[in-house]
Amino acid sequence: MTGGPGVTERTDGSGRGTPPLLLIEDTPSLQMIYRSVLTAAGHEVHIASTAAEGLQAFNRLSPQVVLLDLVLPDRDGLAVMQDILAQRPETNVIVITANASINRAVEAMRAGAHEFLVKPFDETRFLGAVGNAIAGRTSLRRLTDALPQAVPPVAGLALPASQGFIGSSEVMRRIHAKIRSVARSMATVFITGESGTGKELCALAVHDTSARASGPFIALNCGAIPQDLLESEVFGHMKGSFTGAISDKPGAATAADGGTLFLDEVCEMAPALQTKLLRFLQTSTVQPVGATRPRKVNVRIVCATNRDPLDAVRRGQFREDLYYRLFVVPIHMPPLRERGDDVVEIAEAALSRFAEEEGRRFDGLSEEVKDLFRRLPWPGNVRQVLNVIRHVVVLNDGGRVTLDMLPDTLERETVAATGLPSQESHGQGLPPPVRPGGTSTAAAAQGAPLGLEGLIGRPLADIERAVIEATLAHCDGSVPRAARMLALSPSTLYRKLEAWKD
Amino acid sequence: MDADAPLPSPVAPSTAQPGLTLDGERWAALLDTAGPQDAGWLVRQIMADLDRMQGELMDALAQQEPAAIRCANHALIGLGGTIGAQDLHEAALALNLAVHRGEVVPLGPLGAVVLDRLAAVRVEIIRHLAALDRA
Repeated sequence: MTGGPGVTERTDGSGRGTPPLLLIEDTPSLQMIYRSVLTAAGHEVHIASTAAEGLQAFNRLSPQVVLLDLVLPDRDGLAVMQDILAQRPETNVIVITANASINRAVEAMRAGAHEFLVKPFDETRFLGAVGNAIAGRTSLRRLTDALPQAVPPVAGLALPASQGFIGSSEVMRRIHAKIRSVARSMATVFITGESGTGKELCALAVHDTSARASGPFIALNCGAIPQDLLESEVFGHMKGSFTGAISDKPGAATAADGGTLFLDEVCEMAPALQTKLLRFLQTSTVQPVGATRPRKVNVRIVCATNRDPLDAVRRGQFREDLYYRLFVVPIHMPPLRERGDDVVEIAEAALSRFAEEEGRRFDGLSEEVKDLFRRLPWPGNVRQVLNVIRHVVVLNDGGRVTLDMLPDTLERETVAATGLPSQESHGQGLPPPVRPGGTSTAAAAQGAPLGLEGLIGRPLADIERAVIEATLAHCDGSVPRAARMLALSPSTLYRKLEAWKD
Repeated sequence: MDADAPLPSPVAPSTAQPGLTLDGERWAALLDTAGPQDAGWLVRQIMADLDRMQGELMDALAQQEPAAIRCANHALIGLGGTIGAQDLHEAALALNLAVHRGEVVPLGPLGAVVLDRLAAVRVEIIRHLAALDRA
């Protein structure tokens, strides 16, 4: 490392055959630190301290990779990136910032950033991002003639009737509107929501509403496939590439060519495969296990998780760069308890369908049943409602569905799963009916007569669990926020949640 | 989740010893990266940058100018985290969040915390600098 303050552009590193990098960063000590790391890894680095100097250096040097601080003294970094990409769209820009927000990251990625790094970052992540950017550039060069075709804009799309969502609550109307807008683009969609809220239906709706509707929709549950088989399932394999590979197998990514690949439970993916998925997203190529050449595919990615993806990033379980690649358009599927009267609409639609399948005739739900359904918190969401209705249809001959036709355990199980006091044991009642438009379980619980009296006689462990779960619900599942509210460390909360899984 | 809100830092927990403001492991790694020839130069540059940022933040706080506070503070978040000054980094993040939310009133106290932690970091860096000079 040579030179001193005031030197606005420097070149370092032998390069050792790697393409030159341009670093645009205004803090001299950070320039020095980043440059030291990069040159030690064999990169040739050019440095600029301002947007103006950076653009001059870019025009003169035509670097393949630019590392760009978003906050520069003379201009906004995003505007600089847009200038860079307008001149040479194939440049890979790694955006660096200390001012990290999801919107800022999404804005940067939508504007064409290759990666988004949040200061401070460790050396491995930094060099990994640079390595990926260089590799991405190389792949693009090799595959210029096979770049994915742009999807033509689709005007005035309406959700097809078959898209499967039932419910007219305000929150679901907003989801429908979001699906309609996002379907017109190729943007990656990241669906979050509790188990049973209809994440796959949402993914299917995105596909069905898009210009790729006539292409395949391939769904893969990353949590249900053993990790050692998952790579082969996603990217395929060649005959003989490992024991048991008795024939060539195209993976899900290849099968989804021209359509949509839905990766459910994406946060369960092993780190090694996350790296390969990131590369796939960057290059749009797949290389089956054992294959010598990559193959270009044109796939739209929709993924989902029932976890807080950002929390998985914080815990080191999910790559941050992959998160920013995937979390472009988030859609949060609300839990059923926040969807007002949708539960009744869903139950009645399911009753008609299951009755037809079983060859029986039912006359709808009684008012008591509707009232109970509105009051239950439905921890299993839509899936739980469907199971209850299936039970009713299978075990009863027909007629109007009354309380005595419901599974005996329904109220008890639902209440136990949410940790709230039950009507039977304490006379405190269930949470009040959820208002259309929705309030959370926790909010409902706060409004319920859940005073000290309702807790007397209950084991302390149950009370603790109820409070923790209600706080988590109040915090939209965010463990760090709930931990702060409860004055616990997040790790303590994680330990408790882990223990309750057993 | 407020999508405009600053994200929590992905930085690893500090391993700073009690009474010290810098994470020793991170600091040592920085000096290693710079190498023996340039370590002193790097430390002096860090000190110069922190001095400049301190001045900019004090001016911005005195004027209650959110954009200037944000700009000076942004640099402190990045440099503070990079050199392993976790307390400074966290204080600067808290100030950033307050500025982002448009909270005018708490900016003074939050800014004072940042400046206080910055002063402590500078004292420790001066000690490191003296040790480097002795070596």
